[in-house]
Amino acid sequence: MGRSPRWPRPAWGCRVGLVANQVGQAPRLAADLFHRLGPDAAIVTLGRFGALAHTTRGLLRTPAPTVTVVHTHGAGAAFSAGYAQTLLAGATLPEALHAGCTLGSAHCAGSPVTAIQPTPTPNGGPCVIRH
Amino acid sequence: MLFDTDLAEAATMLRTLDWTDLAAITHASTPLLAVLDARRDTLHDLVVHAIEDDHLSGLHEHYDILDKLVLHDDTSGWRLRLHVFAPGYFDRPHNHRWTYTSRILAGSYTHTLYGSDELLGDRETIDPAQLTPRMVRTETTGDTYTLQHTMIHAITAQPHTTSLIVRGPAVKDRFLVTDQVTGHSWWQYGAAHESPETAAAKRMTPQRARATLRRLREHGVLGPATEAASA
Repeated sequence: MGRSPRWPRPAWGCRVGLVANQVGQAPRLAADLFHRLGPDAAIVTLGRFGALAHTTRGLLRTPAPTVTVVHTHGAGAAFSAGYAQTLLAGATLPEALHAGCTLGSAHCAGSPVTAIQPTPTPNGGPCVIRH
Repeated sequence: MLFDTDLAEAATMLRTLDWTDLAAITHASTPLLAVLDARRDTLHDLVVHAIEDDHLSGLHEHYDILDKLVLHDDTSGWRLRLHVFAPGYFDRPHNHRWTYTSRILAGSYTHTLYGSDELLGDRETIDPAQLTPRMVRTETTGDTYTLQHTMIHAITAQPHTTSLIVRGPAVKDRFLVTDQVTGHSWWQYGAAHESPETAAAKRMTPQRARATLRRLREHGVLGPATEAASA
């Protein structure tokens, strides 16, 4: 990281990963990456705990579906695929995060996922839920 | 109403409740919710009754990510509701017009608490970026909690999570909604202030209500109907 012309601001010295028992530090890591690299969103995936994103609007969290894990190889790539495909289809960041977690979990469960289901918009799309 | 003696006693406690006293609300609501959690056949009867009852069927709401069934509408102002969260449910940080007690019957959700709307001070609205999570909890099957109407919170639910709620009388005519993506926040008014078109868009159709009942049966949230109801 830091050598790509897409991300001219170097990330040297910035941690880019966590070990399993450091999940509580994820918000700080996401904030650190966000401020150093200046992306639209800095996302930290948290395995079975889901994922979180730091954006200009603050922190967003999404839990991962509960599945029986068969393997975790490629889980990050599956998350990225679900996230990117949903975002490019015009969905919001929370929807894309949810799709990433859904596809990542399905991959870990060994489920054949051929397409990502469209996710709904918050608070019921055009209707704001009565609270 | 299908409340038997035990449930009627619990319901009576709610009629005389001080809805500003959270401890009292929890004390009065928990037995009702716990009994219905344990007696899924009775809960089944209540859902069937709510779908068939002319008054209650007009109170059910359907959104693309949430179904709300009103199982009891008490003349004193409290309601018993069943919420069924669809896959992908999440909502924006918001508060409520009423205080409630919720019991999770199936599934779980991540519950983020941001603090009371008193943090607005003299401001009419708040920049959502200023909202800081003060507590993040996982509410899971069997959990019960009471939330005061001023609390700003948000939920991200696992698919088909189902909760049973005692909703207190409305104590204000609007609730706060904040959108962290657009950076906007606003006060949303209740059903009484909605246009007929907006209200109609939220009203659950009889077909949808029956589909919700089928789904609750399929997911094992409802037990078999009682013999009395089946007769």
